[in-house]
Amino acid sequence: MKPEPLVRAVAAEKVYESGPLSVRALQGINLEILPGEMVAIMGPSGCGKTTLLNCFSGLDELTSGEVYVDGKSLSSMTDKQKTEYRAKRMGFIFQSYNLLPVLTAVENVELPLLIVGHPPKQARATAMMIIEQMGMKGWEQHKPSELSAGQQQRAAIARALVNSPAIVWADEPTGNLDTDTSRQIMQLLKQLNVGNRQTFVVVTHDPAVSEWANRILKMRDGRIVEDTAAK
Amino acid sequence: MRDTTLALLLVAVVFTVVIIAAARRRVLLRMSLKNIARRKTRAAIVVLGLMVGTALISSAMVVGDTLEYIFTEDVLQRWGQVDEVIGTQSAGVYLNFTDSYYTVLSQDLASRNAPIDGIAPGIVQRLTIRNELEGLWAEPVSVIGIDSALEAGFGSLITTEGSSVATQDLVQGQVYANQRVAEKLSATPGSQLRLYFSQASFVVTVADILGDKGTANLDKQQIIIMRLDEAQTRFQMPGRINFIRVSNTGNEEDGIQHTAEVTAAINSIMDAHGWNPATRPRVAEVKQQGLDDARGFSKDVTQVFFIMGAFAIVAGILLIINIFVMMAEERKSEMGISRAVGMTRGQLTQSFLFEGAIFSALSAFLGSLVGLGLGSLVVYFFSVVFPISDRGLTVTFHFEISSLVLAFAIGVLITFFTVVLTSWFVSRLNIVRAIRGQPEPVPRRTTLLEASVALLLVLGGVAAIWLRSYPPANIASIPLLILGVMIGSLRIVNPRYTATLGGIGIIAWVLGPKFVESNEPDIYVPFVTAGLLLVLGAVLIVVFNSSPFLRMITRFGAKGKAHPVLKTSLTYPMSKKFQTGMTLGMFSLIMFAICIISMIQGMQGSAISNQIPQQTGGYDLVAHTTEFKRIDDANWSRGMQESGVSEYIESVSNATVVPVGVLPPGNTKTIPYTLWGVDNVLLTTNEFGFRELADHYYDRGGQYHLIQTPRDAWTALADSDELALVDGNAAGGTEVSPAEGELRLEVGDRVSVVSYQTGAMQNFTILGILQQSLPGTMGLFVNQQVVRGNYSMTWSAYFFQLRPGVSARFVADSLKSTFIEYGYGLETVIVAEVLGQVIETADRVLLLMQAYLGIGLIVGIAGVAVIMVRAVVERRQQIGVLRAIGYTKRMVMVSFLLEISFIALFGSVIGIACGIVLAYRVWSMFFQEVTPFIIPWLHLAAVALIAGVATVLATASPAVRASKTPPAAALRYSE
Repeated sequence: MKPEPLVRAVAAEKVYESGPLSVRALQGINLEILPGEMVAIMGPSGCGKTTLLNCFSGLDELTSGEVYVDGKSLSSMTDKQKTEYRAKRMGFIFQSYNLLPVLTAVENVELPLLIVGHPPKQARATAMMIIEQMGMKGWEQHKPSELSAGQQQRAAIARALVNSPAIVWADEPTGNLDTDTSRQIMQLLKQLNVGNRQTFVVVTHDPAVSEWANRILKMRDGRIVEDTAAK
Repeated sequence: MRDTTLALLLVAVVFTVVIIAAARRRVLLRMSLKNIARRKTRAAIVVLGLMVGTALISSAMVVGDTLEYIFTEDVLQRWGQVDEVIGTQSAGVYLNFTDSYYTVLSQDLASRNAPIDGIAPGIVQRLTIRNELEGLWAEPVSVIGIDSALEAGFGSLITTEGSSVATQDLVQGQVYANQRVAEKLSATPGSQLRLYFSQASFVVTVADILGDKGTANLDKQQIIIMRLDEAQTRFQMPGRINFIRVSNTGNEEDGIQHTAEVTAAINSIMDAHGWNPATRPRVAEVKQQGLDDARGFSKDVTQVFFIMGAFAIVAGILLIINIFVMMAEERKSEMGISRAVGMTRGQLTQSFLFEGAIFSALSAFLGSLVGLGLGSLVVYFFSVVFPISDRGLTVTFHFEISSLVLAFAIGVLITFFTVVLTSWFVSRLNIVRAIRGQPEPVPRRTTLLEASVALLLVLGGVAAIWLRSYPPANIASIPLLILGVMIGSLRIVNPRYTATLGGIGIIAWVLGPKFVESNEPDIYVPFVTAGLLLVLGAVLIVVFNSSPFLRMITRFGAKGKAHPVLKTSLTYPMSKKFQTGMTLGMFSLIMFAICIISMIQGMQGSAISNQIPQQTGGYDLVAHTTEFKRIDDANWSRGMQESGVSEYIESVSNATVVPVGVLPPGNTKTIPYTLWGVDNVLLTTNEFGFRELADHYYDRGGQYHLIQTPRDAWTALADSDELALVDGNAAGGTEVSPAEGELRLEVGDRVSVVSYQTGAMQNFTILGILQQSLPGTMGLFVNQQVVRGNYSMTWSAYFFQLRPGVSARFVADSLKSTFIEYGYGLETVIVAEVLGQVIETADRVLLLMQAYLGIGLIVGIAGVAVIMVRAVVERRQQIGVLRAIGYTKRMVMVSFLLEISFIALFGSVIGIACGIVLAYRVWSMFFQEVTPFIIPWLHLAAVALIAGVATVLATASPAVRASKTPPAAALRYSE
């Protein structure tokens, strides 16, 4: 039996209005993402990859159409509900890591737990555990500016995973990294995907990254033009 | 008119250099202009922040301009064409002299071609007048006798209808009344007025009402004008006058340029004729003196506003630094790219400077105009808290263009040089790190820049020690050394330890014994320096030591979702120590100034209430005759019985009073003062307090007596004819009433007292200085027999202690209306009213100052809001991340508000703590004797609360905007 999709989009449209110009960033997207999938979204710059990620994760709103996450319509949720949903069920990884520069690595990682109300001690213990898993033990009290790019992205991944989210949205997670570090990061994501059966949606234009995915979506001009299972 | 030459010259030099540099590097200028144009909102915010200092400078100057204008106009209206008055005035009464003095002076001045265009004799008497028909009284009224034929140079007498009249038009028994007295008495042409003089009275008819101008407005009195010859007859002064007015060549304003020459000529004529210097009339440079006082007063007020505003101006400078550092940070990657494509560090500094120069000029221009608005607000407050229109003054907002120009120039220079330093500092970046937007790493060794700054500070400290005779240099010397050592050792010792030790060192130095010598003539400048250093020390300690404290707050202060909010809000300020230090310093300085004023206000109020018995002597009412007349015992008893107030009176003391000239030791010129011969009742019943007292005296028989209590000092007056006690004013004033005269006597001084009537001289030794210096009871207090035995023309004064609950006003009115019937005009001083006025005035000054600082606070809060707006823009991406990982809108907003609340809270605590500590130091040095140390906690808490709430409200808008930023848009954002 086919499992219930974790994310389902129906005729999703997103139009950016800028003065007299309007840009159709997403055009009639219909898509289902199943639990445990690792999906790579590829395409040239400006094709709508990041917009899709933002709209499907509830960070942005569609102009028309609908996105269901865990069977719930995002458009029917209030901002507070969406925020709560993101905090509990989603993780985010960004190209430029986006760690809070004023917090240490461990403080960055434990933040999502604190947001959902975990006691600080427990949050710190969980954060330390995941930091160790990420191979960053000994660096936990360092601020982002004192970490290498790879370390920063590991800390960002730890932050994305600390809540054991059902789905992790990753926007060009290796965009700022060298080849070796990129491979290590993707290996890590793949282990988590397989080991924890966590769903990963990775936006990338790097074919080497897409090789780690078990499904590849190719986009052009706001449409999904190809949906293939990885080799 | 302020001298703007130097300031404008400096501005011209600055802009010439900038323009030449811009012409040589047009591309840099274009970049600067584009930077301003492409971020219009940000440019507006920057200009707003930069104009703070200029606005405060400009407002202080404008307030000074307005006050100078008001008081100068008052002097010109008061004296009209009169530049000098020849006569001897004591306690408001002119002593008469032969009219031949006038004849001689007018002839000789003419023969010497003295620069005068008018000289006129006159008689002036202060009398009580009644309009019997209306049952209205007016007192004191100046009844002036003049001869219009001799009034050339002083302008005609003009009626309210506009027609010109002269005293020659008056017949016997006719007078002119000025508008002021006519209104008081409801007098119209034809009204009959009764004038009370000596033990008789006479009736005159009002021929016409004169407008309050020229001679009819002399000293802004209630005036009745009569013929000089009739005044001589009525006031029993045949062949005598009591004042001569002199008008110098020129109009009302420029006549004073001849004052010194005319005064010298008059004195020379008097000397040439051998007139006794002790008894001859004195020349009073009334207009020159009045204008000097007006200008001095407005200068003092401007200075006080500058000093209190100095804290806000420094806060404004910190804001400028903050804004430019933030600007540099947000443009860091752009600057890195510029450097990468070949721009030198110098060119980068220049491009910042061009932008800074444009911002400086624009903000200084707008700031000087905003200062105009602030100034008008202060003037408005001034007119509300000081109802000076009651004193015949008109509040007219006035400013000199030169003040605005000067404020503009100072503003440009302060802003520009702050920008120069900041630009140079921020241009020192690493290209790669700047492009990547990474922060500069903390250097492990002392950098060349740090070493240079440290060296400069140490050298500055050494120079300040060398210049320590100048108080601000003395105070700043050791702190400069400390700061130099601190910066020099930043990379050697943990910065937290160096900054903490440095902070403690600075505070200890400022509060140490060297703070300021108690005999320092001008405490203001060292006070400002001390305040700035104290706040600097405290900010250093707080900024470098608050992390553990804040971690503790985060750990225990909030549970659940509040925990991460508290954490982010506290971590941001603590991780940006420089920016936080600047913002804290800015807020603390303003709170410090407000705290100091509140403390002074509280302690002054307490000092005054503590001193009420010492000031009043325990008396409720003082009454004295309006002319040289002693009420004899029979008339006194009769009057008291008639008035029906005896039953309300607990006790009455009396004094015999006479105007005299006092010759202090070492002086050659006598100073008009009042001699009070006090009776035994006063000696034994008064409660006047002493500021200073001798420890012994010798009685008439040469016997030695110890003075152990204030009563002993009063008893001494009965035991000796050569001892005197003086009021506080004669020794330099008190906190209740600052000194107004020229006398500066000390205990033990031997002074000569000269009789204006006979020229006879008598010597007294000053035994004590009284606390009291209330108008109406100032003078030298001696044994009554001394005055009665040596002076024929005296007046009587009475000191009343009333029964509890009795209205002093009622008793005063009853006494006046009864004794006038016996021919004794009485002037009364209701002590509580006078003291109340003194207290009220002192209170109002401080209230006005608080209002001014309140404006400073608004500006400071606006500055914090500017920083907040910048912080929201700067952290936009981070807001996006927070929203993505689960921060609700509310959490984002609360996080920003908490952050700013902590700044406001810490700023308030630092400012108030420093204020209390410095106030304590000042109190322990100067005021310990007169008042207990009082901390107006409630008041301070209210100010802190208002400041805190206002800050949160002012920053609410950017915080709300931050919370409303859609997460995707925030993540996409790059400035």
